[in-house]
Amino acid sequence: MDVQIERVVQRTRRYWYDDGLAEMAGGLIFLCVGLVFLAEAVLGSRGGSQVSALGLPVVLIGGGMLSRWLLRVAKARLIYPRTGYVSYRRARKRRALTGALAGATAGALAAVLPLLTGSHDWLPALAGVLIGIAWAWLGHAVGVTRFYLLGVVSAAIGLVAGWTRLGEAWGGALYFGLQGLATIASGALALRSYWLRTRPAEDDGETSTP
Amino acid sequence: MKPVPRDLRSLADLDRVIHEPARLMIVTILSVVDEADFVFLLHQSGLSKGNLSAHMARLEEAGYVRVNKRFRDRVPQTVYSLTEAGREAFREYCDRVKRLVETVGEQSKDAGRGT
Repeated sequence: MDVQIERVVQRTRRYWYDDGLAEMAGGLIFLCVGLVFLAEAVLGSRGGSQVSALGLPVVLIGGGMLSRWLLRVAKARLIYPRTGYVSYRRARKRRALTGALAGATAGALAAVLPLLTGSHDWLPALAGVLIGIAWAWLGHAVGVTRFYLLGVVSAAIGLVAGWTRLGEAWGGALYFGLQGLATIASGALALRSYWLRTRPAEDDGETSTP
Repeated sequence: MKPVPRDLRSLADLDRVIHEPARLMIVTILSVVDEADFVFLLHQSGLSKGNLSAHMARLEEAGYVRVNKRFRDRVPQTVYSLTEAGREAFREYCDRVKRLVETVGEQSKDAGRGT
C-alpha cells in the first residue's frame, strides 16, 4: 500500500466538495447579491444606492450564516448517512489571515472606488476575474477540476458584463446572477453524480466493538 | 563493509504503530479532521470493515485515537478523533521521515559525485 500523505490530506479535504452542496450554497449567495444589484438598477435614483448599501452587507453576512446552517442540515440528512460524517479542524490562524486579507481588500476597494471618477463599467469584469482566480486557487488546493472551469466561467461572464457597458448595477446584476446560476448548476450536477455513485450505509459497521 | 550512517539508523526508531501503511493513512485522515465516523473512514481508506476495525483497535490501544459511541437519529455511530498523543506522534513521524529522506538525498548526491 502506497501512502502519499499530501494526497490523502487533499482527498480528505475534497470530501466537503464532492457532493456539490457547498457550491449550491455559495451559488445561492451569488444569486442574492445579483438580486440586490438588480434592485439597485431597477430603482435607479429612487433609492437604488441605499438598497445596495444596506442589502449587500445583509446578504453577505446573513446569507453566509443561513447558507452555513442549511449546508450543515443538508449534509446531516443527505450525505453523512451515505459516505460518513466528518467535522473538519478549523485552522484558526489561517482563517483569521484569510478574513483579514478579504476585509483589507474590501476596505481598500470601498475607499478607492468613490474616488475614481468616470464610469465604473469595468467593475463586473474586475469581480469576475478576482472571483475566477479564487475558484482556481480553491480548485488547486482541494484538487477539484470543475472549480477551474467555474473560474474560467466567472472571468468570462465578468468580462462580458464589463464589455457590454451596462453600468455598475446592471453589470453587477448580470455577473452575479449568471455566476450564481452557473455555480448552482455545477453543484447540482456534482450532487447528481454523487447520488448515483453512492448508496446509504447499511449500518455504522462498528456496533459489535465493545 | 561501511557502517550504516547514524541518521539512517533512526529508520529503526520510526513509530511502528503509525508506520504501517493502512494505519498511516488512517492517522493522516484523522490529522485533518476534528472527528470522523467509521463510515467516513471506511470510504476514505478503502479498507474492509474488519480490517479497519482491527487497525482502529490498535491505534486506540496505543492511545493515539479516542472512540466515542453515540446515536445519530437513532442510528448507532462510532466517532473517532486523534488524541493529543496521536497528533504529536504523527508530527514526530512526519519530521523523522522528512529528515531521513533529506539525508538519503544528500548521501545519494555525494555518491554521485564520487565522494
